[in-house]
Amino acid sequence: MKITKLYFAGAAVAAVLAAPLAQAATAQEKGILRVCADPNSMPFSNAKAEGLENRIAQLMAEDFGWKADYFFFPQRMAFFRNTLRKKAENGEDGYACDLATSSAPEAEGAVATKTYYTSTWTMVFRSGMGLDDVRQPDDLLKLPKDQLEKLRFGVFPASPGADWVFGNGLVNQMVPFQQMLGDPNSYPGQIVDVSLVKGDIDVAFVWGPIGSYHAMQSKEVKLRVVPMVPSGEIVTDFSIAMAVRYREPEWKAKVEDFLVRRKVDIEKILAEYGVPLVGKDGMVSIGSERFERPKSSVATR
Amino acid sequence: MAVKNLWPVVALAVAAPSAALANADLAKLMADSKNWAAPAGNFSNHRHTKLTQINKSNVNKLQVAWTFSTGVLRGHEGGPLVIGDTLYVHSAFPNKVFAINLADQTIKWKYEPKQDPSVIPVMCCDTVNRGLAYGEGKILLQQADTTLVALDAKSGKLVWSVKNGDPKVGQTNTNAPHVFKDKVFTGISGGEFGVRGWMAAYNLKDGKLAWKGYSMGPDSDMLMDPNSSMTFTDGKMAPVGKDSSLKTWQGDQWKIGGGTTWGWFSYDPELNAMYYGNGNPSTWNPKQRPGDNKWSMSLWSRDVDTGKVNWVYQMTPHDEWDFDGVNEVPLFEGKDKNGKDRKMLAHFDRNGFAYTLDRKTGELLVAEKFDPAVNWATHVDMKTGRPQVVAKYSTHQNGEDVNSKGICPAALGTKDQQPAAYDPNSGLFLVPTNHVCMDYEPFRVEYTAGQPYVGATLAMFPAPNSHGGMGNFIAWDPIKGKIVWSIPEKFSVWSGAMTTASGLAFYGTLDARLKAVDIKAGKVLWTSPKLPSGVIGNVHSWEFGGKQYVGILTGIGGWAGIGLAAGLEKDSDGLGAVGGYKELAKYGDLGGTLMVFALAN
Repeated sequence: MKITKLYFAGAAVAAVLAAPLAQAATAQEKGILRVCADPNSMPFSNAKAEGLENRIAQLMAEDFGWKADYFFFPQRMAFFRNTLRKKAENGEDGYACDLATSSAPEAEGAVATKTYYTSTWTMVFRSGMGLDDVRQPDDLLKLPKDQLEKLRFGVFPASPGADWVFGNGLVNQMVPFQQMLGDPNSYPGQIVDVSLVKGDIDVAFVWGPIGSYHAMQSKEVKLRVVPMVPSGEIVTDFSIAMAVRYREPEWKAKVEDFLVRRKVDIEKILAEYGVPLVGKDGMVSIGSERFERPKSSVATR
Repeated sequence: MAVKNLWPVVALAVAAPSAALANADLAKLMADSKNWAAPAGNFSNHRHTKLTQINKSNVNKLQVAWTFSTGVLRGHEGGPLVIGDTLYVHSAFPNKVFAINLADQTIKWKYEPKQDPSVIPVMCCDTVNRGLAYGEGKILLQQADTTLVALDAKSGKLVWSVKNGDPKVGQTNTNAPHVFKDKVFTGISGGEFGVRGWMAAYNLKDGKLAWKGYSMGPDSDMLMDPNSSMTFTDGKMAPVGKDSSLKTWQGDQWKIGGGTTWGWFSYDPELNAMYYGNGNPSTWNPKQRPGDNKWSMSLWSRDVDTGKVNWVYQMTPHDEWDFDGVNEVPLFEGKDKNGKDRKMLAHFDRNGFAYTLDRKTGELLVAEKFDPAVNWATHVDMKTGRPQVVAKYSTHQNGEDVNSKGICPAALGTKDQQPAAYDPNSGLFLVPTNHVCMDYEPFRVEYTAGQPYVGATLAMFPAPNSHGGMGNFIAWDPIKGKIVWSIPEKFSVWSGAMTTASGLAFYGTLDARLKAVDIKAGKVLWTSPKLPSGVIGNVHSWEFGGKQYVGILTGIGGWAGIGLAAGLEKDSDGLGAVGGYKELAKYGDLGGTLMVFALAN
C-alpha cells in the first residue's frame, strides 16, 4: 500500500454535507474491519501492520470473526477528516475506514471510545554516561553543576518535557524538535533512534510508548527509560482511546465491548512493545521495572 | 529531525545594477485600468479600478457575461489577472493555471503542475492558493509544494522553477507571489509545524534567490542592521539594537518560532521599499515562550534590492490568542490628523486594531479598533505602541486550567487575509470583516503524530449583544481611525473588496452573492443572483472590447469554509472555525468557478 497513492485520493474527494447514517454497516456486513492508521509511526502502526495498534486491530477482527483491512494516512492535522470521515473512493461503500485505533479521550472531529491504556511521558538517555542512577527528571538537578550544564535536552513544543526544561531554567540547553513533519518518512521516534543514539542530544523527553519502544530497538547504544513525574502544571500522564464517527453508537459500543472483554490480551500486546503503563497508584511499569511516583497531584488527562 | 541548520544563512546580495525595466513595464500595465496586472491591481494594493462604465445608477443592471469552472473543488481564494486580451486564473491544489482568450473565452493554454501530494496533509486550512503575478512576459505561480514557477505568458511553457521551501519540514505555500522591480517576492506557510517564516526575493529573470530575510533569529538571518533598522520606541523611532529578536526568546526556541508570511505584499517604487505582515509565534504554548517573541506578529518594511529591514513594528507582543499579522498592507498618501503630508500605510490586523503608520519612517500614527466588539485589549498605548491587554482575556495570565470566555475577536481575527480596498476619491478603506468571538479552553488534550499533550481548543460564536451576524462590511477612515459606516452580514465577509472610480465598492459573501455598495451612502445597491458557491476570492475588474467586466472567483473553502470543504461536524473542529459556519451548508457546495458580470449591450 503506497502512501503517495492514498494522498492523491485525498485531493479528489467530494464534501460530506449531510453525513449519511450508519454507512459503516456496509463494510461491517461484509465482515471487514476497516482500520484508519498511520503508515509510519512505530510502535503504534506501520504500513506492514507491525505496530501495537495493528496487533490490537487484528485481535479485534479475529474476535469479531472479521478480516482487518487498512486505510493509511499520517496521524497529523485533520487525520479524522482524511480518514474516518473520508468517503470511500467507489462511493458505494461508505467511508475509507471505520475505526481509528488511537485518539485523545476527547476526539476533535470524531467520537472517542473508552480509553484502553494510560501511559506517561518519559526521559530517555544513553546508559553509562553517569546518569544510571537517575530515576526521574528531578534527579538530574542533583548532578554536579558542570555535569548538568553539559546536557542537551531534546524536547517537543507544548510537551511536558518542554515544561520541565523551562521550569528548571535549563532552556539554554534545549534542542527543539518539531512535533510533526511533512515528510512521510519521518516519525517522532527519530528523537531517540537518530538524535539520541547519534549523541546530538543527551536526554530525550518523549511520550512513553515511543521512547520505550525505540530504546528497546537500539541494540548498539544501550538506552535507559525513566518516567516523568506529574507535578503542578506539568501534566505527564495521558489515556489513549480509539475513535469512531459521530452517530454510530452501536459500532462504538461494539468496539468498547471488545476493549473491556479482551483487556488482558490487549495488555499483553502493550507489554510486548514495552509501553510504560501507569497503574491506579501512580506507579509506572516499564518492562519488568517498576517506578514509584508520588501519587499525581494532577489527574490523568 | 532536529531543527538545527535547516537553511544555510543567505548572505546579503549585492544590489542589482539595472533593475528598472520590469518595474516600468508592469507599472505601465497597472496604470491602464483595462488590465488587472497584479494580485491587488497595483503596487500600493489599492484594489481600485478607474473604470466607470458600471456606476451607481446602472449597477443594478449587471448580468452574468460568462463563467468558467476550474474543475477543482477546494477553496478558491485570490482572483484572476488580466493583461490585454488574456485572463489568467488559478485553482486551489493542484494549482492549475488557465490562460483564457477574452475574445471568445477559449483556453489558450493550461498549466497543471505535478506536485508531490504529500503536501496535502501538511496544509492546515484547506489547500487554497491566492493567485498569480505577472512580470516581463512571465506568469508567476507559487505552488503549494513551495515550488515557485515562471511560465511564458504567451505559451504557458515553463521558463524557470525554484524550490522556495521544503514540505518535508512542514513548509508549504498559499500566498500569491508579487513582482516588484526585477524580483519576485514570496513568503511561506506552516506555522502549525513550527516553520520559521521568511520573505524571499527571487530574480524575475532566472529564478535565482536574491535575498531571504527571516522573521526571527540572529540579526544576520533577519537582514536586520542593529544600528539602522528602526522600530517605534517610546513615541519615536529608534534603532532596534543588537539581537532584538534573540533577546525575546528562550534558548533555541526561535528556530521553530513561526512568524510565517502568507499574506499580501505592497511596494513603494519611490522609497524602493516593500511591505508585509507576518504571523504568530508557532507551536509553543504561550507559557513556554515568555517575552515578546520578536519579530512575530509584526509589520515590516524591507529594501527591495537587499532585503535589509528599514523598520519593523510588532503589533501583538507575546501572542496568546493565535492572532496573526499577515494581513495586507495597502499604501496611501495624504495629510495626517495634524495636516502634515505623509506617505502612509494602513493595516487591518487579525487582533481587531486598524493601524496607520508613516511608511517612510515606520512611525505609528493611528491604532484603533475597527470592530467595537474587540475586547482583549482596551487600546494601543501610542507612546509604547503596545496593546493594553485586559487580564481576564489573557489566556496566559488565566493559566492552564482556566477557560477564557468571550474573547473578541476570535482567533480568525476581526479580519483574516481577505484584503480591503482603498478608495482614493474618498480616502476611505472598504474592509471585509469578521464579527466573531471565542471561548479559549487551554486544557484540552491534543493528539498529534502519536503524541498526547495539553493543547487548547476554541469555540467561536457571533459577537454577543450585536446584530447576531458574524460579519460586517465597513468603511474606515484611516486618519481619524473611525468606522464611517458598517453593513451587517450574516456570515464573515471572507472575500476581498474592490472599489471603482464611480464610487462603488464590491464584495462577495459566504452565502454566495456578489454585492455592490454606494461608498458614500454605505448602502447596498445591488445583490447578484445566487452564485454557484460561497465566495472567499477577491473582486476584480477589467475592460475588454469597450466593456467593463467585474469578476469574482467563487468556491467556498479555506478556514471559514473548512466545515463544508471537509465535512466537519463539531463546533470545535478546524481550529475552531467551523461551529458558527455550519449553517453555510444551506447555501451550496464546493467548486471553483470564475463568475464574470457586465452590463447588457
